[in-house]
Amino acid sequence: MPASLAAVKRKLESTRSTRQITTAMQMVSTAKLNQVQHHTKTYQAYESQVRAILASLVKSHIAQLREQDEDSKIDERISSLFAQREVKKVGVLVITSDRGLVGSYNSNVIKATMDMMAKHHLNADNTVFLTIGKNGSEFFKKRGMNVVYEYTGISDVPSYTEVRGIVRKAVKLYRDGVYDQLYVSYSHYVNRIISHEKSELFLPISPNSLEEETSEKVTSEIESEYELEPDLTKMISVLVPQYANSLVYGAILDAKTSEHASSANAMRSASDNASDIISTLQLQYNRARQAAITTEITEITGGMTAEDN
Amino acid sequence: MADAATFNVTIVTPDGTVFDDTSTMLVVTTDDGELGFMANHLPMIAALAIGRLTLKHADSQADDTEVAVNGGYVRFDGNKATVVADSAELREQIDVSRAQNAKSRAEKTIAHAKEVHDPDELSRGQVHLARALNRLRVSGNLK
Repeated sequence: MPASLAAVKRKLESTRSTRQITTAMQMVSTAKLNQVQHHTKTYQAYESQVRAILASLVKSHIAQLREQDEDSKIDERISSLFAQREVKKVGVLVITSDRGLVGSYNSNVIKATMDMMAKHHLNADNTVFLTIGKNGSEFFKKRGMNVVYEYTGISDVPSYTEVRGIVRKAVKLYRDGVYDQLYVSYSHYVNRIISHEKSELFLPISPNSLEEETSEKVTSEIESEYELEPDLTKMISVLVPQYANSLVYGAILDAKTSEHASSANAMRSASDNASDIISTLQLQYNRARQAAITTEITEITGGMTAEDN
Repeated sequence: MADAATFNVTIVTPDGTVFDDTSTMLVVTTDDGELGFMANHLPMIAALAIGRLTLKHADSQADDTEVAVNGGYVRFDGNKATVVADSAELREQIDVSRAQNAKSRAEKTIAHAKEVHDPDELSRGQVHLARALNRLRVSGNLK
């Protein structure tokens, strides 16, 4: 079967070049994953510093307020990030990827968001969306959701300076009362194979979570009494937004890490699949070639026999 | 000053640690003016303004290290100073042309905000301008 021989060969070659591409993409994703992981480590040092200080200040602040019979005025900006308001509108920040080829990464995040919305009875009327990444933005727009802010073209290893815009925007819209709660939907990186999709309440910040999560090492470091310059209220009003910003940035980094891991996984399974197909095709090709040779030999021997007779 | 007591200084930002070394004196800018720390200062936390941070070194021949810092705070404790800021750049690392662009962009924003009376935009423009000017000042490019 000479025709099928050529067809199998063509298919074999195209699968080979696909495998070459997916292997290269897998390596690129793995390299990006390593980069972003390195970056996350330095960010975590920063985040734990901010949180530890804030936790200890909030603790002494609350104590001070109690001494003053709680009638002293707290800076508006602090209370607005802590206080539970009556929930009229909810903001959802959805972090997805710009590109495809990341396996089920995007659909998982979107599914987690929809589940969260169903759970809290959210619909197009009482929800506003902030989206990072083209996939999420297109999905929610198509469904007639109110997307107030979208950010696309985020780099593979986002720096704080780069995403400061959206981070501040998210916190500012909350402070301005555009929404009374901020959920962040993103994919939390566990390890290279596993990611968990999360929809978490970021704002208002709960003072409890602040204390619970503070690692003991950093807390014990800052037990001593401090002189404060200029004063406690001012310090907290500086630190709370800084902490809120760092939380949102942390989620973005986490999501990016997960995206690269997901992309590396998708490309690895694509390469594995290609390898399987190649070995099947190779077998087919060899068989077809052998069949062709056998036919030729049969014809030649047939011809010779005819001549001898 | 040859045997001046030293202490550790770490400058942390979300994008990594900018500086981690010893120093004999740290001067930071707060909203109320400059604030200096030397070894054995009492424990203190201070909010920082957008401004210059200067570090003097034990080796009096060595140049002072200058850093452009955007807000954040400094914590001094047990002879260790930790500066935690949104961003911080050593003088050598400042991208002067970018800061120049940011400056002119911020000036345009402010002009526009004044035209349309938008207080939000105005304050944002002013923060951007302060940041750009600070970078230029620290890098010695502001006439």
